[in-house]
Amino acid sequence: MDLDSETMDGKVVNVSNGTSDDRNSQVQGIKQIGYGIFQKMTESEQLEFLQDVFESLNQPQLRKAQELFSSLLQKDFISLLPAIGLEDIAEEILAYLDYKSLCAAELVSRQWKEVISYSKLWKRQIEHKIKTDKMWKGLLERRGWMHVTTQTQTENPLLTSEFYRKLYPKIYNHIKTVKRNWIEGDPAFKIINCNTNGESKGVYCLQYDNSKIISGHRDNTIKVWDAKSLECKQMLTGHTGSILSLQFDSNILVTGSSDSTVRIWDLYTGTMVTALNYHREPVLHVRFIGAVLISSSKDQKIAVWSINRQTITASLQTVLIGHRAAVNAVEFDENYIVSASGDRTIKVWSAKTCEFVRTLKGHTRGVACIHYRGTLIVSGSSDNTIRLWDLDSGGCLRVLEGHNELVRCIRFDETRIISGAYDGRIKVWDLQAALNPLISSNVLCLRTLWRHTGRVFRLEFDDFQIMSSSHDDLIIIWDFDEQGNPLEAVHQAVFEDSEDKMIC
Amino acid sequence: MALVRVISSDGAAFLVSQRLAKRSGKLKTEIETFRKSSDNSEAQPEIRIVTIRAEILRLVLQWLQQHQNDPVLPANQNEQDGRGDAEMGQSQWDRDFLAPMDLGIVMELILAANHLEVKGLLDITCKLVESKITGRTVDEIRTAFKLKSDFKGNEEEQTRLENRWCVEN
Repeated sequence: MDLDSETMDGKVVNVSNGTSDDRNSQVQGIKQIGYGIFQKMTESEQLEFLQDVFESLNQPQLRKAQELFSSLLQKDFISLLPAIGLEDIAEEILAYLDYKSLCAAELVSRQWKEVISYSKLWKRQIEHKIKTDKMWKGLLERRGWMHVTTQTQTENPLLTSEFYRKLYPKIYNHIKTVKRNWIEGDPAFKIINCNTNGESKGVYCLQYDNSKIISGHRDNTIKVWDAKSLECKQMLTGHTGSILSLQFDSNILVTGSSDSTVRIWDLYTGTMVTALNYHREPVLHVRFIGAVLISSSKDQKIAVWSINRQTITASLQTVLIGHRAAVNAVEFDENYIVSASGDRTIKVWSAKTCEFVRTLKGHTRGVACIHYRGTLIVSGSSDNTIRLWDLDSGGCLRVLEGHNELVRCIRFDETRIISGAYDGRIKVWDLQAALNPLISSNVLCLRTLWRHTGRVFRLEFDDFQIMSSSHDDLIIIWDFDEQGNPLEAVHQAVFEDSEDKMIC
Repeated sequence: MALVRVISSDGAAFLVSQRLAKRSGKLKTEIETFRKSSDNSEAQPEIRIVTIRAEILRLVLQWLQQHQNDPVLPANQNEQDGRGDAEMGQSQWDRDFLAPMDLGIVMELILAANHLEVKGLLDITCKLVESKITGRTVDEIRTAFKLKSDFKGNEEEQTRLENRWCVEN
């Protein structure tokens, strides 16, 4: 205690005592005033002033100043590099920063901001996102904006550095909103009413891409709809029974029908090329990848076909027999064929040898639908539950309860499972949470969508929308994409003062 | 063994094997130019690098020597491939090599690697600088690079507003 007060006294005495300290504080004061005035000058005034100061220095002082300069300049290479024509290197250094670090770097100094804002760095950030984040890619494709990464500024003068710098946060926020919409937003609806003559018929199956939707109907027709205008562009006829399942790629459409045939259509000409007769009863599901086509039927059989993509013909390769009831659905990849049956089981077969691998048992009634990807199988059943299975072990990972009637259709991606049931409800489930055994079952269902007044027969979805078809003759597009056009908004913000309002 | 004399801006001469020197795109071109213009195929080329001082040139040659058996990376590697190779190839030796350098030296090394066309060295030095920025706050970056804010008026506030989107959750 004594020591403390002594020390304090000592300090006080020192400050008020020596004349050199008086001078010190005077100089400090002058410095502060001088610096204040200096700060108020324009840049050119500051430089002029400094030139006067330098001229008044002696040689040793100048040398010292030179050292100081070179060390100051060298530290700030982000600013220095462009000044000596090496902006490529400055960009190279900054090119691999994440967007947060890039934002922070912009705030370091005026030069840094200039280097970053007037570089290709934000464009590169967007390009990187498109490569690594499927929602970014999906959004740009969906809106027809891929040109922002493929065109150069010479081709399209609107694609300036400023444009990309403003575009990045717009897309970032847009995607954040879309993700939030999936949890709590009200999706926008687009409805295609397929009911033409007042008699409800039903839409059993559908698939879509960016330009079209193809649906299969109970009235034996297949319809092709324009994805934008939602108008029916084409109707394909030929089947003599309901269209129960379909799949298309860029060239061909394959359909399975209650007339017991599988048919292959040429999408360019819109004509039916081949009818495959093998099954004795309705064909409940068809899937194809490249040249391999698999059909499953009420006749309890699974047929594996080889398609000749040139002639659009197919020949029967082998038949998988084992199920004791209708095979409602089949999915496959290069490793396995997975089938779901009314016999309450799921069977796994080798895709290479077509040999039986194992049976997954657990559902207490028939299995109506299935989706398989990687090592995960998700199935929906007439017992109203959904089950997640590990393909390798055959073990059931989780039972999802919530639907009150038969679960007729199911799809999943890496974040969510979406199911449709006979009570018209569509449920969105949290896949990652469902795979975590520590998470309680009652938080897995994220939301229930209810607008169909009949059984939900089929659904497909991506990061922005769900498309579902039903016995009520409607195709509903549940759109979680945020309305509005971020690209256009950026153009307007960047070019609001210019005449040029061209929207690319 | 064919040798080449490489002379720094401050006059220090380094005698290195041509095989090693040719791992620098710039020195390779210089040696070939010398060969073409010289009548005597036995003559020892001498190359003056006026922009690089001895301390830095020594570091570049030291790095080349350590990496003399690595595959040579093309100078203009496709941007899209990024620096994957450099990242994988960055050895403990490289880390020890760079560790004692202050940013001023690293800067000179970047310029030298760029001038001498030594892609691998350029990659690891750029990456080192990048690591001083990644994941840091504005103030941390300013401290690392010994910089002060020189924004005028509300410029900094304006930029902060523009970039607010990336700090909000």
